[in-house]
Amino acid sequence: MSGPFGLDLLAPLGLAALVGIPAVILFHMRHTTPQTRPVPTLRFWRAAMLDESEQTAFRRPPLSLLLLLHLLIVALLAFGLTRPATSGAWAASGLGLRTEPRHEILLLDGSTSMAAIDTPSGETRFEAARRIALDRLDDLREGDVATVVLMGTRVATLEATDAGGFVALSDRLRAIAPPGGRAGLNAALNLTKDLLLPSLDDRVVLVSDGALAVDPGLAAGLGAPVELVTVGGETGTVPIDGNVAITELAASAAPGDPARQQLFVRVANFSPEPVTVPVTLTAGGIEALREDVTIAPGGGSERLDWEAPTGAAEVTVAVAVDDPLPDDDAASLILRQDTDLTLQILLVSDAPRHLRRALAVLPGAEVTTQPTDGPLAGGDTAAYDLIVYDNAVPDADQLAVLPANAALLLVHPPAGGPIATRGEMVAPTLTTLVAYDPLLEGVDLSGVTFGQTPVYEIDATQTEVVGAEAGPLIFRGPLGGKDAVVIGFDPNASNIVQRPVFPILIANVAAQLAPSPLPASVPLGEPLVYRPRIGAAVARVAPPEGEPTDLSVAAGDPDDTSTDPATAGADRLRSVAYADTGRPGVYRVTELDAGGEPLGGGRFVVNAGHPTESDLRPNPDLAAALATAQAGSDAGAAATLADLWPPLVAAALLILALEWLVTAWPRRRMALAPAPRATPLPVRGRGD
Amino acid sequence: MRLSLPSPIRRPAFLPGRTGADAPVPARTVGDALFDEELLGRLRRLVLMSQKTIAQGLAGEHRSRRRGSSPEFADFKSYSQGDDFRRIDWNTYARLDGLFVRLSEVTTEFNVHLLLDASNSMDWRGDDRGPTKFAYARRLAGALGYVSLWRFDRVVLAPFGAELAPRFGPAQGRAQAVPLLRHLETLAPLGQTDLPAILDAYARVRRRPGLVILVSDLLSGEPADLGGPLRELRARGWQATVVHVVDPAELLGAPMTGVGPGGRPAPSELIEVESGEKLRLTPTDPVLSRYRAAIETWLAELDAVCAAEGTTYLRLQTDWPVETLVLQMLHERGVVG
Repeated sequence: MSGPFGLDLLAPLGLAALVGIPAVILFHMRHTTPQTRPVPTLRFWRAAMLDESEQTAFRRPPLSLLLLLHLLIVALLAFGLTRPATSGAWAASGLGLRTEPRHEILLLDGSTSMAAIDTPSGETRFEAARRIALDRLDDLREGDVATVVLMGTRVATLEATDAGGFVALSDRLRAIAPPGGRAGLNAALNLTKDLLLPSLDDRVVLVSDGALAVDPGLAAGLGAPVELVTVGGETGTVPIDGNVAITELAASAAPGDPARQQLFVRVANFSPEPVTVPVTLTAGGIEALREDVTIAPGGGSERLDWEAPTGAAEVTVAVAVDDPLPDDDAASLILRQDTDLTLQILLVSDAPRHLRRALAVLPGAEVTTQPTDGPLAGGDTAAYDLIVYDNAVPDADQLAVLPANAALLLVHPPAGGPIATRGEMVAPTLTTLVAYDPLLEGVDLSGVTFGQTPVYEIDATQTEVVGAEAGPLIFRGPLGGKDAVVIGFDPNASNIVQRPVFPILIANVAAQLAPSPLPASVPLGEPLVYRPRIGAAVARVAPPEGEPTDLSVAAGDPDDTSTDPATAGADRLRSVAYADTGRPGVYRVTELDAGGEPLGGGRFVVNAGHPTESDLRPNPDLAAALATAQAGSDAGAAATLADLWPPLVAAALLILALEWLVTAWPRRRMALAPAPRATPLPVRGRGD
Repeated sequence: MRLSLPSPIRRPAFLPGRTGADAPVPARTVGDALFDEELLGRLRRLVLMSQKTIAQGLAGEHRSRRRGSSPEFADFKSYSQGDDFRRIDWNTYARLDGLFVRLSEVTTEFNVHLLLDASNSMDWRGDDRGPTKFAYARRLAGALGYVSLWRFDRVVLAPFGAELAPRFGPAQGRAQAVPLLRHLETLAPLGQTDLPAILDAYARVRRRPGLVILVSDLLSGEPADLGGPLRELRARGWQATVVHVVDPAELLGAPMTGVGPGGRPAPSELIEVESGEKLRLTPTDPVLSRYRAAIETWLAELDAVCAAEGTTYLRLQTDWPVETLVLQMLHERGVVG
């Protein structure tokens, strides 16, 4: 029901409470229950009484201030019960209460840049953003729904639908650590679009430093308005108005001398002024190199090519600068892992040249070559993560002594082995290809020639990945109970070994069959995904600070008969993922067997520096892009209304309080005042 | 301090003192004994005064209009037939050659009648810390009676409610002081009263006039109704004194009512103690002003009526001490000397 002055009465039946007005008048017309007092005579009181109405049960309505105040209170309460709502000045002033329940979606930026300390309060951007989010949660009331989307490399969603949930959500938000990494705002907006509740007033609040990129089309089609609340960026909090970061640190073996490690360091300057900063290289706690570098402003960078100290297992590059984000002023790199977490590969080949080279470049790989006619003891094979047979094939006895979870790569297995053949293809040409198979990721076989290849007969448990007219060229599937990939053609008879596709193909095969080594470094917030060694039941990851986390390694199912190569492979490859990489530093990984005994360990480094996240400057287009987000047509009208009953009730209570003060305060004063005394009347007698 | 009382009279309850040899003297509180020895000592020095001489009665300590044979010379008169020859003053006959009879003054006793209002309206007080009007009136009547008995006057104490209650006396002599006070202590309120009728009836049935002292709150009837009985008393030779006992709360009015929140007047239901009639009112300032005006008018009417009938009118408030202020006022008004 719409009324004057832009008021809407959401509950007109509340006007029924106006019956309280005659009730109040009736109440005031009643004589209050008087105190009974004995007196010696009534004659003088009767003479003093002019108003006989007091002798009746009711009297005329007294036009007293008390009655008027009570009538005003009843009127205010009755008006409040009608739930008057307005979209005018009251709503803008914030004195009113929202009429509709709200769905508050808080997009909390947890990216690496939010670790910058450039807020007026001296806290990090993330802490300031978290405080703002907590304040928003405090404003919610019963019936509202709150969703917090914590943005980092990964997106975490927290939700609460009632008052208790709001408290729990606030507590959880206070304890949560920033995930770090790059904030995927587009992914978060996509998720938000699915989270919108049509029945509620959806409000999206992005609390961020603004150093985000957004797809304007995605924002425009979100279906809810987005409010951008920026934090940080206060100038003058640090000497440098901007950030200097080590955005890249990598290593590779020096050409011609694999024992020497070449380091590539990139230092970027995101401040508006050019800076000259000293960059140091530390290995084993000793400063090995120092160089002053002048970097251009506005995102300019300088690359340093250094040689790592010989024998260094870990190096740290640091830039000495006082900027808002100290996390990215240093970066570390693990040059040499512990030996027991390297990728141990046994290559059984008489001509291992190409295969050995392709296998050796795998990160952490240590390749052992053995001729095909040599002995192959079962005890020795248990130490290898991958066994490669080149132009050879294990016989049934050898298969029996191999470990149950051994991974096999058979390259051009000769006929007569455990794989049945039916003739040969002289010059096979590629006819079929399973493009989505992980083995072919990044593999382009066009132009590749294949030499004479046996026609292998594959059973139902095996999957052809690359096929020719007469039979498969590459296929995968269990062999003797072991994971196996078979490359049917002979690389030595093919031109593939002269193409970059060959090491990629071998790397894909190794990635699918063998445990992956720990990376030398992981970007901040990026999850660590790797496959522990065979026999590992638990991978224990210890962060730089805090308690270690045990990750269970799913046991492989040798009897898995799934025909989906992707899922079958994933199930059998026993990957573990560790996502809590939001803190820069060195993480230690220990693999444990089922009995809890350590099988080995390794380390990886999480570096904060990133070409995007280290740039603390806000995206100037972000606000404009988010401003295009509009609410749906249904939510718009209700969203602007403000309920006015709280100020009305407050006014009624204020009047009551004033009435109490007026009535009760003088009573105390009266109680303290001395009682009046009777004045003796003049005595007259006859003699006067 | 002990009161000297003739043995074997037991120490009465109206006197403060010890119930045992070692009992401490209790503090004076409401409802304590009517008299103490200090007051009695003051009373013993007083004498009840009459505004006119009395021609009747037996010999006493008060001057009389009667002439007799006492040694106190009063006057001469010419001899007339029938006069006692023995009273002829022969020395005067020798000087003046005329017969003159020597007259002597005869002192007579007083008949003191204490009419004590024992109606329910007297059993009221506006302040719990003070005495009721009835207690104050008993104390005053006791004082006057004690003075009279101490001077060998004949005393009658007549409490009355709707009717005259059993009276004390006539009694005479100091030995009757204690029984008088004991009798006063046993008195209780007697309900309603009709003061003019009581006065009228009391004067009609007594042949020998005397001094009548009415102790009352005078709330029975209008002031004009009191004029008739007082006139009747005077006509019959009585000397009347009206002692009007009032409570200070009666004069103010406000203490009789309630006070609401904020010190504002609260509605009260007043119940008349004698009739039980009720009246609801809110003691606002105008109401209280009219009440006080009515009280003042009433008091002025009482004063005027008493003055018109030659009656001594004395108004006493219950917060005035009997020992000092009241006795002084009685003395100033010629009630006691």
